[in-house]
Formats: sequence, structure tokens, C-alpha cells
Amino acid sequence: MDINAVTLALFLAGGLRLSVPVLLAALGELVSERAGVFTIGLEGLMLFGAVASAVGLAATGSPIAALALGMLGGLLAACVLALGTVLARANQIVMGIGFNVFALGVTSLVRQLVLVDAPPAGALRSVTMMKLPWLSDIPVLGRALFSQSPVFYFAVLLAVALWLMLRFTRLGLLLRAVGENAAAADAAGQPVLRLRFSAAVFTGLLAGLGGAYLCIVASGGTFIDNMTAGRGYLAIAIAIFARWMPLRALLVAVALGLLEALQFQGQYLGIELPAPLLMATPFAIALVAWIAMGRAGAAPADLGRPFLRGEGR
Amino acid sequence: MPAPLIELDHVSKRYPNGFLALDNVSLAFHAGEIHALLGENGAGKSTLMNILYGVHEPTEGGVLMQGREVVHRRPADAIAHGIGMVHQHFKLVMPFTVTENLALVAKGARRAALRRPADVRAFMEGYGVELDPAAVVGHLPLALQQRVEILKALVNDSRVLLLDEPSTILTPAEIENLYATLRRIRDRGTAVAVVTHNVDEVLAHVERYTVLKRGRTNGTGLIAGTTAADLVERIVGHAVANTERIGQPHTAGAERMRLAGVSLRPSSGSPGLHEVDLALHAGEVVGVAGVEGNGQTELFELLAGQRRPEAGLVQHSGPRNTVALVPQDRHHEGLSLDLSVAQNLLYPKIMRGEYHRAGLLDHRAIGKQAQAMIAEADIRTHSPASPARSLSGGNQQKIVVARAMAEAASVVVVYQPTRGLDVAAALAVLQRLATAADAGTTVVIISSNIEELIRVSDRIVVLNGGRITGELSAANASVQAIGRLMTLSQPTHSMPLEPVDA
Amino acid sequence: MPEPKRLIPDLRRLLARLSVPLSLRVTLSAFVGSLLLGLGLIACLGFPLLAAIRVAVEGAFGDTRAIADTLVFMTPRLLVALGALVAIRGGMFNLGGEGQLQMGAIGAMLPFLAFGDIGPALLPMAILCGALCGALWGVIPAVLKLWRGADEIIVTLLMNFIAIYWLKYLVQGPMRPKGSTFNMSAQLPRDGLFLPLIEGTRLHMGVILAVLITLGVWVMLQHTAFGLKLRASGQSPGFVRLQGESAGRTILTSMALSGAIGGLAGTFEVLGVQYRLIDGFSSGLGFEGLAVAFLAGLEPFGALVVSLYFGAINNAALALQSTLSIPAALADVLSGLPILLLAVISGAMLTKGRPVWTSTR
Repeated sequence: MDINAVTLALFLAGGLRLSVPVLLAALGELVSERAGVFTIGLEGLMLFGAVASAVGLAATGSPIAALALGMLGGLLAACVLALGTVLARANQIVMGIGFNVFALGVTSLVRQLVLVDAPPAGALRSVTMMKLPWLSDIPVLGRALFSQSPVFYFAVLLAVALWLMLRFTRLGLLLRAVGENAAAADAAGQPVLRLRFSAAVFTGLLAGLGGAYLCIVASGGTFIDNMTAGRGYLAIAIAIFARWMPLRALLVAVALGLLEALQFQGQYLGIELPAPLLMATPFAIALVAWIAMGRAGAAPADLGRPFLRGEGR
Repeated sequence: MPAPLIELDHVSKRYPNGFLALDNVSLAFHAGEIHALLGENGAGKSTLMNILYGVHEPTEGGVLMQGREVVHRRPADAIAHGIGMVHQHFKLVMPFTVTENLALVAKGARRAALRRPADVRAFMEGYGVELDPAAVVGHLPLALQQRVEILKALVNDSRVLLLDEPSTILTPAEIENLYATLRRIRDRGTAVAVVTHNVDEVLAHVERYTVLKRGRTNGTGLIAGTTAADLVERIVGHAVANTERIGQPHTAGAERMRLAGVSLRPSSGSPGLHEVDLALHAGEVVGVAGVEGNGQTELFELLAGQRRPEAGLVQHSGPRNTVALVPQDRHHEGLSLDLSVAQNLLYPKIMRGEYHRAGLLDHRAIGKQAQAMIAEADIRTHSPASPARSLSGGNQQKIVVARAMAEAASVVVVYQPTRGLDVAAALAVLQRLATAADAGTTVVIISSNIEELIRVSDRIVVLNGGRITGELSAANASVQAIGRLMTLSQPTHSMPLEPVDA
Repeated sequence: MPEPKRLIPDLRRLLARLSVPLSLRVTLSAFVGSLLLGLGLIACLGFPLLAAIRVAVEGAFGDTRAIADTLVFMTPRLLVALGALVAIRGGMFNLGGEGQLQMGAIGAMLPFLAFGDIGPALLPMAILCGALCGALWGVIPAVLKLWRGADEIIVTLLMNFIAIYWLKYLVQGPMRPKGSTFNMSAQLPRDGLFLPLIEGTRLHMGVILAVLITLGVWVMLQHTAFGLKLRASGQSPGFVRLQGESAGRTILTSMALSGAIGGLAGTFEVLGVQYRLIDGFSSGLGFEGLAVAFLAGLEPFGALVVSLYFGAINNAALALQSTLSIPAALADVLSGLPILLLAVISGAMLTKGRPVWTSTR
């Protein structure tokens, strides 16, 4: 393999690695938005997932348990958030902004109180690298696509699964109905609030895993304050730009991940941009895409609208 | 007579805002019968339907099914008891296909039985409906959307089918079609209940009727043995409490504005407008009567210049007309509730740069002028600086009217000006409008209150199904004549300008 | 103007109600509740509760220096909140306070980097330039909304991060003095720029200016025709539309003003606290400012009170950290908690038939 192929493989692999947390969070966001719940608190959910996984790693030493705990952390935090946005029918944006400030504080507090004497992370290879037999031997692609973290494979499979779920299953039908017209779903005898709550909690699960990946897989098990650095907001933009379609979200997240990877491998590929500008590009591209979309609409019609029977349409 | 399938047992409903929508109503629907619920706006028809379907819970009384008390806390409970409902504003998921909308409500075995498109097609054909199961509902014409809404209500083999104002948005031919479908459903042993305001539709298609008036039952019985006159009287009431004219009769001056063959497409819950011709003259009060949701909103928006007609013309004759508006929704359009009374009264003037001192608002001058307007319009408020929200409905409405009057516009368009007002407040508002016409202003009053229209208008046109179904001069107008025009669905294009029935 | 994207349809209706101040009792109970939870947390973690309270109160208000620090902490939060409330009262959900703050900070440095130390003119130039940069960052979402119908919620959120990374880039590259290895710009000349008002404290002129701006925003909202139109547009867009007024100019002006005020938050941090542009000087100040605006019911003087509370909490948290080793992140917890409690409390009101964020008057 010549040097260019190696560089290319590294670049691709890096891009895919970087795309995982945003992809997971975006998939979660699009599920809750499909059900009509705008989860601005996604950033906070990821932080909770990250810190929970760090605690899990410190406590058990097992990176797999850490990831599981990250999901659990995101899930529990999402329960709190959904209590306000779904059940109490609070303003979803106000609640989300408050939640993110709160999450920033709580996770940092946990780091200083619980993680301060955390033992150095042991072997993380079980979650950082899983070479798929045979496939990983394919030149370039093998290294790029098939020598990734198991979480990456999971995220890709999940995107496909969510696509199938939303499109072909009864659960998907119900979730979409609740987001498009909650009153109609209610009139059809469907439990609107239960469905929305479940969707919001599922978002927490995925955002939690995204945060856990960031902490365990991408940062060697160390939690850093505000380590999500806006990825939650970026994921919201991706979910919208992908028009709430999981496979599109996969493509968009990977594209943005590759862009971000340019900061590490860019110079070998002959592209030299300062790292902060490269970090800004996903946001800028999401912004341009959002503007270019014009009023393409297609947003779930009841997105952001709390449901109360007998009110509204 | 067999025992009723479903009954309302002494039901009352009081909304959180204190409005008593139903007052001790008892009512029974029988299997194999189409039962019409008649009444004016606010008579409680929709509330009744919503209680049966579990959207609202009754404040008092209960629902019986085959003699046993049932509690419907949510639509799911009603569905489980075999009740289906067709809502006035369709509860359809527009981006979904016909099949998906049906699947949303289908339960258990029926859901499995509707898996293949052919099954769905067969199910629909059982009710005489031919539709592509894969069609996106939002792309269907309204009449077909309604068919989907009906099928949706029937998917679980409902024993009771409720329909809220299904005929408003339909053309006469489509109404025939609708009842053909309903008869088919009835013949399967289903109890069908239809909310409507159209008397002739009831006479032609229905077995039994109940009239609701201000939340109470005002007559019920078999259609055989009743007459149109009898039903209209029950709906609009018999004795007119007060026929005393408000303001002087006016002689119309020069033409100011004309709608010529104006049309707007129907939409969910509204029939749009169909070839409406209407001329407006200086110094007259024109009343537009009709049951709400028959094109009034569209007419208001056209006159206000907020919408353009899809066909036909809105012509202004002579010098440029200015139009002042009193919208129907005073809480969202008539007022900005958190601004003060004075700011609401003088908003247009302030925005034109009046009442400023040293670049800031001259609160003293605003207060003084507002005080004068408050005195003149007899607005009861603690002070001009109180937020408009703190006033009673009647006084809020007086603000909106006073502001429109202060604009000294050549045309004033008023939509439901007395809704929710007590007698004295309503009289004051109408008096004010009559005075404006004395001074040469064209006043258009769109209202579903026939009595007050007769008292204040110089002539009255009636809107029904988006068409003008008749015009009466003040001298010849009677509640019965207008009530008939409002509640008979066949439009008579050759309607004479003379009263239908003196 | 193209139809705005119906992304968040009825949040806008709820938003209109936001501008009606919450009943004081509900708001206070949220604050008291969050404080009690905070104290409970301190106790649970095994810290001496009474000592912690004493340290916190003294840390925030104990002496001139403590009070000065509290006010310095208050200032950026207050300004971001004022900027946010100007836009939100007018119906634009400007969540871009963080980005506008970053741009304001960059703007504050520009005159000095361009012209060097040019004496007394530098201060007004820095302030003006900071406000302009913030205003520019605020106007962009307004233009995009009017031109393309792009929902400002997403635009402002994304622009926050573009601004953050832009500043990071500037201090790592173009603005970094030659030979320096730190990610920060050169230092402003301290003379003539926001001198400490009281010797030995950090109290700077920005604090006074922020209070004056609070007054100005209040005057604008309550005593000018523009303020009247702004409030009417936010609360009752249907009313304004029926009055035949276009929303475009109101949206542009309010967003420019909002951005300028938000920008000054960053400007004053540079001129009064950091004296230079430095990466990460704002640890989420923009979002905290938003929380302040919401908690204040979008009232300027309410924002003054709430931001003072937030300033005190942050200052007290530092004192707690240095004397009792209680992590200062407690401040963020206590900043986020009231809004969560409030959202749940007032949201719950809706289920009892009362609208969200309504007043009891």
C-alpha cells in the first residue's frame, strides 16, 4: 500500500470516527422530532451520557459497562427533560436551554466530586476497535470502514433500523402520526403523550451513547467539562437538514465528520486550514444547507406543539 | 321502538372559562337510524358530540350505552365502545396515505385484515367508496377526505357514528352522495348522528331530529310529521324579543366597493366562496347573515384586502377607499391584550407619528385623548393605562370599535361585533355603527345573530355554503325568512330581492 | 417576505405569553426551591452546611470587593439577557446571545489592533466596534428569515458555534502576537480603558453602562413608538398584521439592537475583565444570559435582578471552592435549576386549564 492510500484510509477512518457521536445524537433527535418533540436539550443529554460513562468506567473498569451506563445516564436525564416538555407541556425551547445550563453544571460537578480520583483507564480496545474478519483486509476501505469501534457499526445499523422502523412498522406510523397531527392520533385512540415521552426518552438513550462514545472511545475515558462543544446543537441541525430521514442523517453526519477530520489528515491530503476553522465548517455548512433548503417544509406539522386534548386543531 | 343504543343522561358541560355549553341535556340515538342534531352556533352541538367521543368530559350527568353507564375519558375509550366520529376539522394525518390513516385507528383483527391494498379497497367498496388506498390524503379533494374520515370512523365496525357538520363543505350533489353512504351505514344497524344546520337536508334524509338551543333541548321527534317552518322556528326561536330599530334607516349613496363574481376555493372546515356578487354603497348598513363557517371569514378577508380572490374582482369605485376593520377574533387581531387601553385605542395614530414629545411617547397626551374616547364610547376601565386584558369582553370590543371609528374610514367591516357581549354592550356597539352610517360611512356587519342584523341593517344578504343565497331589505326582513335562507342548502340563484316569505 | 418555515409553530404563541411576567410567587418559589436543592446537595455531599452558607453570603456580598466581583459577574449575563429579550419581545427567538457576545469581544479588539494605542479615542471606538460586530451577527438571522424564511432558532444556534470557532481561530493565528505561544491576543493598554472604578476591586465602567443600558431598554420598550410596535408584534402578530404594518423592519431593527447589546456583553468582558481576547473567556455566558431573560419574564429590570442573583451565585461558588473546596460548577447547577423548576411548575398549570407563563393579574 503506498503512502497516499494509507493517508486516505486514515483520513476516512478518522472522519467516520468523528461522525459517530453526532450521528447517534442526530438519530435520537430525529426520532423525537418525528414525534413532535423539539429536544434542544440534546447537548445536555450528551453531556450526561458522557459523564455517566466516565463514572461507569471508573467504577467497573469495563468499557462496555461504561457505554451501557452512558446510555442509562442519557435515558434518565431525558426522563427529567420529557417530564417538563411532554408531560408538563412546558415551552420546549426554554426548558431545553435551562436544561443545557443545568447539565453543564451537574456534569462538571460530578467530574470534580466523583471522577477526581478516578483510576487511569485500562484497556479500551474492546470498544475502540473491532476489525471485521475478512472485510478489514480490503485495501483502504478495510482500514477506513471495517476497523472501527463497534459503536460505529451499531450506529450505522441503527440508522438503517430506524429507517425501516419509521417507514415500515406500526410503531413508526404511530410516532409519525403523533408528530404530524397529535389531535388526529388522539382521536384515533392513540396514546399521544406516552408515545411522545417514549420518543423523548429514546432520544436520551442515543444521545447518552453519543456522549459515552465521545468520552470512552474518542477521549480515552476522560471526561472534560463541556466536552460536547456544541455537537448536540450540530446534531439538531443535522436532523433537520436530513429532513428527519435516518439514512440522510447518516450521510450528512459522515460528510461533516470527514470535514472535521481534515484538521488531522488535511495536511497530508494537501489541504491546509487552521483547526478552528475546520471545526467551524460543519456548523457553517449546516447553516448554508438550512438556508438553501428554503421553505422546503416537510417538518412534522406538530413539531414543538405541546398536546392538550380539546385545544387547537 | 327498540331500546336506544347510546344515551346522554342529564348531561351538563361547563367549560373552564365558565361558559355553560350544555344544560341538562338528555338524548338517545337508536340503532339503524339517522338522527340529526340541529341548532345555531353555540347551541352545544359540537360539545355534545365531543362528550360522546371522550374529547371533553361532562361536568354533570353521564353517557349510557345500551342502558349501562360508560365513562369516556379519552377518544380511545369511545373507540373501544364502538363509537366513531367524523370531525368538522378532519382529524386526518394529511401526509399519510388512505391506508395509513385507516391503520392508525384500526384495532386487532381488523388491522390484520387491512394489510393488503386489495383488502382496503374491498373494505371501502363495502361502503360504496372507491379510492386508491395508496393516495396521500392531503392531496385528495375535500369531499374524498371526508369519505376517508368516515371510513376511519367505521374501521372498527363502529355501532355509533357521529358526524360534526359534515355537509357544510359539500356541494348539493356531494351532500346527496354523503347521505347515500350514511344510509348504507345505517342499514347495517349503526346509529348515525349528524350535526347540521341545514333544515332541508334533514327533511330529505333523516329519520329523527333533536334541536339544541343555547345548550338545552328545544324539541325532538320523528321527521315524519314535522315541517321546515317548524324546524326553523325551533332553531332560531319564535318570539323575537326586540324588533326596535337601532339607528335611522339610511338611503344608500354612491357605490363605493363591489365584489363581482368572487370565488375562493374550499378548505377544511370552510366552503370558500362561490361567485359572490355584492355592491356596497355610501351611508348604508349592510348585514351579512349566515351560520358561521359558511364563507364569512373569507368574505371578511377579501373586504379587508388581506386576500385576493381566486376568481372575480374586488373593485373600488371613486376615490381611494379606506377600510377600517373590527375583526372577529378580538383577542388576537382586534387587540394587543398586554398593551394598555390607551395604546390600543391610539395604536394607528401613534404609529403614524402622532403623540410624540422629544422622541418619546407623550403619555399625557395619549392618556388625555384616550380618556376622551373612553368617555365617548363608554368603555368601562379602571384607567386608560390598564392593560386591555383586564377589561370585560364587552369593553374590549368597544375599544376595537372606537378605534375603527376614529380612523374615519370610508368603509367599516365588522365581523361578529357583539359576540359574547351583554345586551347593553351589544346595543352600544351597534348604535355606534349606525351613527357612522349616518355620516356617510359604508358599514358591513358580518354576524350570525339574525335579530340584531334586522334591527340595525338597511339590507341583509345571507351566506350559505359560500354562496349568497338571498338578499332582503330591512323592511321585509324577518327572523323566519333569514333563518330559512340560512338553513336551506339549495342555493337559489334567481333569488328575488323580495322576501321569500313575508 | 417568504412564509417563515413552520418549524416550531406554536412555540411562538407560547413565546408571546412569555412576555407577560410570571406571577412573582411562582418565580420566587422556583428560586427558593433551587437554592434549597443546592443547599441540600451541599449537605448531602458532606460539607458543613452553615459554614457554606456563611462563606457563600460573604463571598458574594461580604465586602466592597465581593460586591464588586458580584457586579462584574452580573454584567455579561445582564447584557446578553437584555439583548435576548429585545428580540424575543419582538417575536424573534434569538438564541444567538453566545455568538453575538463572541463577536462583540472580537470587535472590541479591532480598533486597538488596527490603530494601536491612540489614546482616549480608543475606548469609544472599541465599544462602538464591539456593538457593531454584535449587531452584524444579529442582523444576519433577521435577513435570512426575511429573505429565505429560514427559522431563526436554528440559524442563531448554529451561528453561536461559528463565532466561537472564529474567535478561537483569531487568537490562535491572526491576532496572536508574534513569538507568543499562548492562545490569546495582545493586551490592551490598560490606561484609558475601563479603569477599575474603585481601587483594589475589579469594578469597571461596563457595570455602570450595563445598568444604563437596562434603563435604556426599558425606556425603549415602554416609552417609544418602536417599543410599542415591538411588543405588539411579539405578543399579537395578528393584530399588527391587521393594522397593515409589515413585520420586516421591526424584525431587522430589533435583531440589530439585540445583537448590539449582546455584543457589548463580550466587549465589556474584554475591556473590563480580560483586557485581551482570549479563547474560552465565555463559558456558556450566552446561554446563561438566555436563562436570565426567560426567568425575568423578559422584563429589563427583572433581568437586572435575576442577573444580579446569577452573579452572586457565581461569585459565591468561587468563594465556596477556594475555602471549602466545593466545586464551582455548583453555580451552573443553580443557574439551570430554577428554569427547569419553573418550566415544570408553570407547564403543569396548563394542564389545570391555565396557560403556560401566564400572570395572575
